[in-house]
Amino acid sequence: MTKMDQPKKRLHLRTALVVLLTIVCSGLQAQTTTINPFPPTPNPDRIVLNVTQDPSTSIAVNWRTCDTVREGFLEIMPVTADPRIAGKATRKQAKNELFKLGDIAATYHSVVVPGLRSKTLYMYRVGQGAYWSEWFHTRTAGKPGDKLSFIYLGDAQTGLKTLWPRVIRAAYAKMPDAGLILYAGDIVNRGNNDNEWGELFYGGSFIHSTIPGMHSPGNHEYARTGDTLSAFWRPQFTLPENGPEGLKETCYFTDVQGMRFISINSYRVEESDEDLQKQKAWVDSLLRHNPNQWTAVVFHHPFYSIRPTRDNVRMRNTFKPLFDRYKVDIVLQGHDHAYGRGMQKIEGATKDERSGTVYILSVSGPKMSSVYEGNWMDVSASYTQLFQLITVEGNTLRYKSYTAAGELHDAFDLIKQKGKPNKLVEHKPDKKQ
Amino acid sequence: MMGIKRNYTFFLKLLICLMLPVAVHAQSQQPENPYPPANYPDRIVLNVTQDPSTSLAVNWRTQKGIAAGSAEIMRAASDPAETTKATAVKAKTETVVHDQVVANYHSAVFTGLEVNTLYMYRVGQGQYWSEWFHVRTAGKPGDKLSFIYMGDVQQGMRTFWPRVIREAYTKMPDARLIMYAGDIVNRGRNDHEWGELFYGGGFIHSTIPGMMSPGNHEHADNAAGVNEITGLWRPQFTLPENGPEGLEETCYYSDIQGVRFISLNSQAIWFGGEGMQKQIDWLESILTNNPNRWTCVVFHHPVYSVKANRDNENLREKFQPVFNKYKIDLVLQGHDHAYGRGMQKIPMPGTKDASPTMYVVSMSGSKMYANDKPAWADKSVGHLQLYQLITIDGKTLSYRSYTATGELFDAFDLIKRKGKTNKLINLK
Repeated sequence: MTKMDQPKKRLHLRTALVVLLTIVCSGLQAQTTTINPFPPTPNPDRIVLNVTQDPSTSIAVNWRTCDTVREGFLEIMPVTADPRIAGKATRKQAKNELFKLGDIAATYHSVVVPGLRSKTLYMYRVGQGAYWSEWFHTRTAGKPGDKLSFIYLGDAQTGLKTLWPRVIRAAYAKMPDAGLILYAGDIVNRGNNDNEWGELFYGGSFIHSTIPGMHSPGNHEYARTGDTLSAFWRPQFTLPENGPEGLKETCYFTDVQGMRFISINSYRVEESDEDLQKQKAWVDSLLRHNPNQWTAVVFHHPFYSIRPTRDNVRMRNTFKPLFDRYKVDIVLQGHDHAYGRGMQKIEGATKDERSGTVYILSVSGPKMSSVYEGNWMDVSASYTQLFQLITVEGNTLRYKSYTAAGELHDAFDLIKQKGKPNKLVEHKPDKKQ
Repeated sequence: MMGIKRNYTFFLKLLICLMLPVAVHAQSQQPENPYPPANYPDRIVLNVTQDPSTSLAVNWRTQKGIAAGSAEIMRAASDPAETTKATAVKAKTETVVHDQVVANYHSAVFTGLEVNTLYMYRVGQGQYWSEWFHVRTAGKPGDKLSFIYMGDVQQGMRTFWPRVIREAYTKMPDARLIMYAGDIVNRGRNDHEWGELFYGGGFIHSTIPGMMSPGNHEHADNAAGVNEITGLWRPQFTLPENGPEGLEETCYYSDIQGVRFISLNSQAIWFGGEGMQKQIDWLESILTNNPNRWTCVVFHHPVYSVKANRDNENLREKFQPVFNKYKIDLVLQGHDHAYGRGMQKIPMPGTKDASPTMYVVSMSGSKMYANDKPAWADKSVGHLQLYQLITIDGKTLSYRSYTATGELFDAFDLIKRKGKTNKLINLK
């Protein structure tokens, strides 16, 4: 070997090194592009408040950590502006559930806190050891007769981290004192995609941890093939387990300040005779024994659709007679990616009667369809992201639908009348020009 | 005995062996950065510009591999299909190595906007974009103005502070700016503290422009022993560069709907010398030519302290005379971790009148000192997390201070009078 060969050898080595580094780096780069943007960590995330059967005396909270965290606690107390007093909070142990799906390994934690005072602002946090959430504020529900406000959102489904966040944030900014947020199903696009739930929780941010959610599942919370509910649904929510067997936490009710809110699992009604019958009997008994002045029902598949090809006959034939008989006030739905609201053109219990129930379908995410046929509708809209703010006070329910940009797009009042169907008073904003 | 002892040793060894992986595991979790820069933009913050009725400034952060970025903006539209009409502005990008974190900081300024208009914007590049945020530009002089003022955050950014900014936002979602009177974090050089701050405020930082004024805790001595602002300040904010040279983005002003908002760098004033003199000269110059009806100054070290053992002589001796001369309406401060506000008991030298200026000290985070009941204050308190909501409508400035729990704690109105100092109406 001559001296001249030395640099050549070094060059080879250097080339080999560069090639090796390139391989390693491109490997690393490929890895960074597929990185999970919402990995579970020791810090609690996806912290969500849920409605309970009686949100005036109890709250339910769920959160997630990485799977090495095997326990969790919730601390709660009436709010104080002096941080020194937070040491007096009551501590409750969480139920912890190990969760595995694909690459995701996490622990889901849940706590129900009973025995709270009504209409009281509480502060709570969740976690353990060195890993705690921030303190959140949340107000328990009041009593029947107290003025109630709530938010209703149609399908979020897509754009969870692009165009949907502005909708829930605008709704919250206009109604921060809402007692609950209703989701009429198709909350995500693929119920088993962890990433989509991550985007949903990112989009709503602390709003999910501040106002209890009432989540009703849609077809997109069910797996594409088969009849299984999203694996995330039950670990990540703690909804009232007061519905029919086999449909727990998807079919349930909550009574809030004199209003009964019922969630029906409309996907299972459409798919299964057994689940249809179960829910029919359950809804019948709930409506028959209902001490509340007002009743709202939320589910995904609408009775009346934006076009004939999207008809949900089973839902309509099963529940319409019950809603007529028991005079359900308002039905909040999704599925069609447009807006429709109707009552005056819809039949009631007989052909001579008009419906006493208002039927609405709406959309909050950016996936859109055009309204093709709407002969049941009093008001319709297409290609508009929307949110709805509803207030119930005494004999009057005030309904307002806003565009994502905050403009009033539809409004009406429902007024209770003794021995007669509700009176509907239109407040549709004047159409421009 | 020996047998037992040997067994004991064996048991101890076994125990250590069993515990070792647990210890290693626990350790491997601990030092992980909870706020690593990623492909997706984070720490997205809107800033006041010199004229927020026609322009908006936005900053964000990504990991270093994202070498460029842009910001898109358009009038808020409810039809998602219209977002293709957005205008793009290319960002300035700089790589910052700080506190062992390497990141790219991006900034963009939207100009030529329409006044009092709801816009939607997003930031990012390629497949990595933020969500669309809504923001409303400022209106014209004479339009009713709402803004939020926060005293020191400093501690509890991810424990006790988030509830304060969230409560403030829910009570005043139409605020056109949020003023921070310094000590926004505890150690300005600690990357994770800024991470906690941005986590705590969430989307609020990206929805309402911030007017950040630095405190002593955003400053530290560098290797040469020179006290300087944290290396994260200028990359992560785009504040107006209309202040004295060397104090850009810490000493500046913004004119909003007939109010001149001025940020002073009180840390530089506290040290005195050139950094102070520059600000005196600059302040005089922007107050001599001030077309606005109202003037509000924000800085960290208070002219009058709530704590008995704290005194910022330079501010009182060199700046209060300027405030008196130009009849500044409102001075918003921090530093003392207690609350005090006063005007009536503060004399105006050379006259029998009281101060033409209302001085306020407040705090929003969880670090608290007791109230020493200072003689200058009309009202004072300790150990309360607070936020302030201020509205200016014509001749009336309405000031409301709320506890973290949403209870009204202090309230007054200031009313403009021709040829006289403002009339103070105490409401609480």
